[in-house]
Amino acid sequence: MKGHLGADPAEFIARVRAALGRSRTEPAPPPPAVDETIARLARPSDDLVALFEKRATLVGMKVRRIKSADLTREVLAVLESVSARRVVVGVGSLPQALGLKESIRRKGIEVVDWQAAPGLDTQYDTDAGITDVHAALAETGTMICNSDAGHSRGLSLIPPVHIPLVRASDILPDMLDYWARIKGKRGRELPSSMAFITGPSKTADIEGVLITGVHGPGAVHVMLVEDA
Amino acid sequence: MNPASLPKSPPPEPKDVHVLPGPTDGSAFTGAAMGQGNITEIHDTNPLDVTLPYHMQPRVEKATHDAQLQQFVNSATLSKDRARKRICLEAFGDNYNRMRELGGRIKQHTLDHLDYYLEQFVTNAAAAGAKVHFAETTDEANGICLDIARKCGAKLCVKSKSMVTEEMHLLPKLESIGVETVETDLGEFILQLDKDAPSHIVQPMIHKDRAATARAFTRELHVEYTEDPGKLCQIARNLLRNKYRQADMGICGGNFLIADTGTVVICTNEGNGRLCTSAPRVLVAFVGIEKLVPSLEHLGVLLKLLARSATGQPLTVYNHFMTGPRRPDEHDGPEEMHIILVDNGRVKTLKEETREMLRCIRCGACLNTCPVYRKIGGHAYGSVYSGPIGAILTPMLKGLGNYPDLPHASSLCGACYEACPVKINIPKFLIQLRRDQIKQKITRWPDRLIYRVWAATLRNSLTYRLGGWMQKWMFRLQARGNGSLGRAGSDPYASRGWLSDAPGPVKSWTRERDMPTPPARSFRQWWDEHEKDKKSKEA
Amino acid sequence: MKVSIFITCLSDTFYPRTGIAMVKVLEHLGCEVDFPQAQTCCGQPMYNNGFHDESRELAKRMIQVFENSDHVVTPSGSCAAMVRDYYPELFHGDHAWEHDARKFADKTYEFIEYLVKVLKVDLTQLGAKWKGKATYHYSCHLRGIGITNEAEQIIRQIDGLEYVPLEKSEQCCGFGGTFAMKYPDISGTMVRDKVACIAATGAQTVISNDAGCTMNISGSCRREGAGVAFKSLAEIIAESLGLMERHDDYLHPAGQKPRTAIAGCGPIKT
Repeated sequence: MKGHLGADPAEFIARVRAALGRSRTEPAPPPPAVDETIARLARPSDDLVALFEKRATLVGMKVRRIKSADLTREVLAVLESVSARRVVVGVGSLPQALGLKESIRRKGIEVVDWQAAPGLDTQYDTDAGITDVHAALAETGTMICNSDAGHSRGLSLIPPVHIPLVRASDILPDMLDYWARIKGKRGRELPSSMAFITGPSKTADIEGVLITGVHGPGAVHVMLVEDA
Repeated sequence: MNPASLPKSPPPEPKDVHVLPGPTDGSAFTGAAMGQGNITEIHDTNPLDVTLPYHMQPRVEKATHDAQLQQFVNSATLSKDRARKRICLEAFGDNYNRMRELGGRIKQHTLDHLDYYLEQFVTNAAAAGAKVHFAETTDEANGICLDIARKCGAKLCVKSKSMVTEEMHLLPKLESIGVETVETDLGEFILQLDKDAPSHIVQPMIHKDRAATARAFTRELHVEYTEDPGKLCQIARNLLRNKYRQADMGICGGNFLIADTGTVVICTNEGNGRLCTSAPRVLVAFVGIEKLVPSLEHLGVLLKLLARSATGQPLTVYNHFMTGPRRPDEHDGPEEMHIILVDNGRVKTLKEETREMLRCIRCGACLNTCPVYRKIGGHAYGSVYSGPIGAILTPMLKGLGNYPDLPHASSLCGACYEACPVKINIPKFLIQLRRDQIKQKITRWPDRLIYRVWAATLRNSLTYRLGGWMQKWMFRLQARGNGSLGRAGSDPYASRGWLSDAPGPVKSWTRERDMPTPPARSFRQWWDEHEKDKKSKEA
Repeated sequence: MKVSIFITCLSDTFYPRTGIAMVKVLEHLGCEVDFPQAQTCCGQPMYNNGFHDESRELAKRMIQVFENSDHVVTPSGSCAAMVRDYYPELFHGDHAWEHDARKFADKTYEFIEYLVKVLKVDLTQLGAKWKGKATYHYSCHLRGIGITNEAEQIIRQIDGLEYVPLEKSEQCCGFGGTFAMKYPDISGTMVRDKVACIAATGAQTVISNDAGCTMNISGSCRREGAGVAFKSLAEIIAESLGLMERHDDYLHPAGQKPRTAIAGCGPIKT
C-alpha cells in the first residue's frame, strides 16, 4: 500500500498474525451465522406501517400518516408551524414530491439551492430540511438517508427541523432486511455516507436531562405516505 | 481551546442563580439534590495523566467521601442499568442471553482471524478511496495525525468523542502545532472547558452537574450565567456550529469497522459525530484494530445490542456509515478520508489467554451495573477505561505492573459479566490478572506468604480445625473483653459477640463495620452429637 | 436420596445454625444426610486472589473427600460457584483431574437450588408457618450458578411471612472475600448502601444465604444501628416447619432505624 504514514502495514499485520499464533494469513472460516430466530426483531408479516409509526414515535419523532395527495399540504402545514423562512430540499426523483419545491416557494418560503456550491455552507441558516429516505426500518422506527449527487449529508442534519418523506413501500421490517438488500456491495459501490436516523438529536450529558436538538435537528416530522 | 478565539459576549452579570423547572422527562434528580461538592473543577493537568505505577487508594478515599459524586454516579448508573434490562428483555425476551452469546461469538471470531479481516478491510477501504495508516504506539498515531494536519494546512479541527484518542492525549499535540481543536460532544466540550477528563465511557461528565457546567460556560465563554440545561445546550450549539463551518479538519473515532465493505461506523446521539465527519475537508478516523466486524450483517447483531446496553435506546440516534471520502458527483463530505488503525497494546492483548477482552464494544453497561464503579466513579481508575472493563483492559494495554491495584478493586460479584452484551467474562480475567501478578512477583512477598500458609493449613483437617478453634477463641476473648459476648446458657450455636476495633488483618474490616465472633460451638461439634443421637436411636 | 453436605468454613465456625438447619430440613424431606469429616475449604479465597496452584491442591482434596457422594449440597452460592465454574477451569487440560472435577461440579448444588430443582419442594404443602416481616438478600454468586428468584419463590410459600423485596437487590453488598479488607472504603460504602435499602423495607428479619454476605451486612447493620435479625434460608425454613426453635438475634432493639446513611445510598427512585 502506498501513501501510508506510520507503521508499515505488512509488518503491522505480521505482528497481529504472530500474536494469533500464525505464520501466514489464512482465509477465515465462515463467521457465525446470524441466527434470525434470535436477532430478527420484526417480520414481514407484521403491520409495518403501524410498527414503524409506534417505534418512531417512541424515540421522539412526530409521525403523520397521510395520503400522497395530501403530501404538499401536510408539509406546508409543518413548515408553517415551525415558521420556516428558508428550507432545503433533497427528494431525488420521488414522484410524490414532485412539485413540492414549487408549492413551497409559492408560500413565500425560500428553497435554498444547496447544489449551487460545494460544501454545507448554504445550509446552516435554513429552518428545515425535507428529504426522502432510502429505506426505513419498522423494528426501531429508523430512517436511512444516504448521500449521493441529489442528497446532501446536511439535509437531515443541519436544519433544526427535519421532514423526512417515508413511503409505506420504503419500510423494511428489520435492519437485517436492509443488509440483505445491499449485500455484496463494497467500497465505492456503497454510498460514501449512510445515516441511520432514529429520533431527533439528543443529549443527556448534563445531569441526565434529556435535551433534543443539541447539534442535529431538534424535531423530526415524519410524513408517512401510506398509499405509496 | 483558546478562549480568546471564542465569540465575545458581555462580561458576566452579577450572579442571578435561578433554579429552573425540572427536567421534562423526569429522568434526573432535582436541584435540591445538588450541593456544593468538593469535586475539583479546573484541573492543571488531565486527571487521567497519572504517575505510574498508579495506586488508586488516594482517589478511592476521596471518592468514597464525596457525597455529591456518590449521588451523581449512583443515580445515573442505576437508571441506565434499569433501562438496559428493561429494553433488552422487551426486545429479546428469553433470547437475551443467546443474543449476547451471538454478539460475543461474532466478535471473538473476528479477533481469532484479525489478520485476515485487517487485510480485507485495508483493501476495501482503499478501494473506496480512504487512506489507511497503522500506528503501533500513541506517538506514532499522533504523529500520523499531525502529518495530515500539516499537509492540509489545518487551522481548526472539530472532534467527536473517541476513546482511542483519549488514550493518546492527542489534543495538546495538535494545539502545539497551532491547530485549534474543539471537542464537540457536549459532555466532552464541557470537560474541555474545565480541563477535566471523561469519567465514563458513554456519559463522560457523569461526575459533573449543571452548576459546574454553568460556571464553566460563564468563565470560559463569557456568557450569562444559566443552569438551564436547555439553554446551556443552545449556547454550545450556536458556538459549535460556527466551528463546524470553519473547521478544515474533522476527527472521529470508530465504533466498528466493516471488513468486507471498508466502512467506518460511528454511533452518536447528538449529531456532532455526523457534523465532524461531514463538514470539514479532511477527515481522520482513529480506530482500535479490535473494532473490526466481518460484514454489515454481523454488525447488525452488535448494533442491536449496543445502544440497548449503553443507554436503553433501541438504536443510537445516528449510526453513520462512512465508506471512503465524498464521491466526484457529491456536493459535500470530506475530500480526504484517513483511517488510523491503532495498536497501543492491543496486539499483545490478542494472545489467546486475553483475546476475549478485546471483544468490548464500549457500551459502558458494565460500568453502569458495577457496585464499585457506582461508589468511586471513573477517575479513581486512573485511566481512560474505567469500571470493570477498565480494570482488566487498562493493565493489559498499559502494563500490569503500572496498574497493580485495578484487578483487585472488585468484589467479583459478576454483575458486569451478566450485563456485557458480548459476554466478556470480566471476573475470570480479574482473577487471571491477579494470578499473573503473583507469577510476575508484582504481588509483594508478605502477601504471597500469607496465602501460602493459609492454604497449607487448609490442606489438613486437623490444622483446619485448629485454625478455626484459635480464631474462635481469639475473637471471643476480645468480645468478652468488650462485654458484647452473648450470655452463657443461651443457644451455644448462636451466642456470639462483636468486635468494633480488631487488630491485625481484621483491622480494616472493623474500620467500616463490626465483626461478628463465632458462636461458642461449631457445626462440627453439633454433627458429632447428632451422629451419636442417631446411633443411640437406631440402637 | 443420599446427600453429602459441604459446610463451608465460614458456616462451620461462624454460622453453625445454618448447617444444622440444612441438615434438619433435608432429613425432614427424607434425605439421608452425610457429612464427610475430612472436608475443609473449597479453595475459593486462594483462587480468587490468584493463588491457583494452592487452590488446585485444595480442590483435589475436595474432589477426593466427596468422591463417593451422589449429591453434594452446600448452603453457599459462592462455594457452589467455585466448584461449578472454576474447578473444571482449574484442571483444564489436566486429563487426570479434569474429568473428576467436572463430575464433582455436576453433582454439587447450592441448597436453594437443590430444594427447587431436585427435591422440587413446595412449602405450602408442608404447612410452613412463620410470623414476621422479612426481606431477602440475593447473593451475587447465585448468578454464577443460574439462580435468580428461586429463594423468593420459596419464601413466598411460607404462611404468615410478610415478604418485602429489597431494592437494588442485584447490587453486591461489598463483601467479596478479601476485597472487604483490601478496599474497606469501597466495601464500607457498598454495605451501607445495602443497610439503607434494608432499612427502607421496614423488615425486621433479613434472610441472607451466604455466610460472607451475612457477616458483612450484619456487621454494618450493627455498626449503623439497624434493629434487624439475620437468618439463612435454611434456618427460616427449619423454623417455619417447626424443626428448630425460633431464634431472633436482633442486633439492636427490633425496628430501630440506622443512622443516616451517606448520599447515594439506599433506594433511589429513578
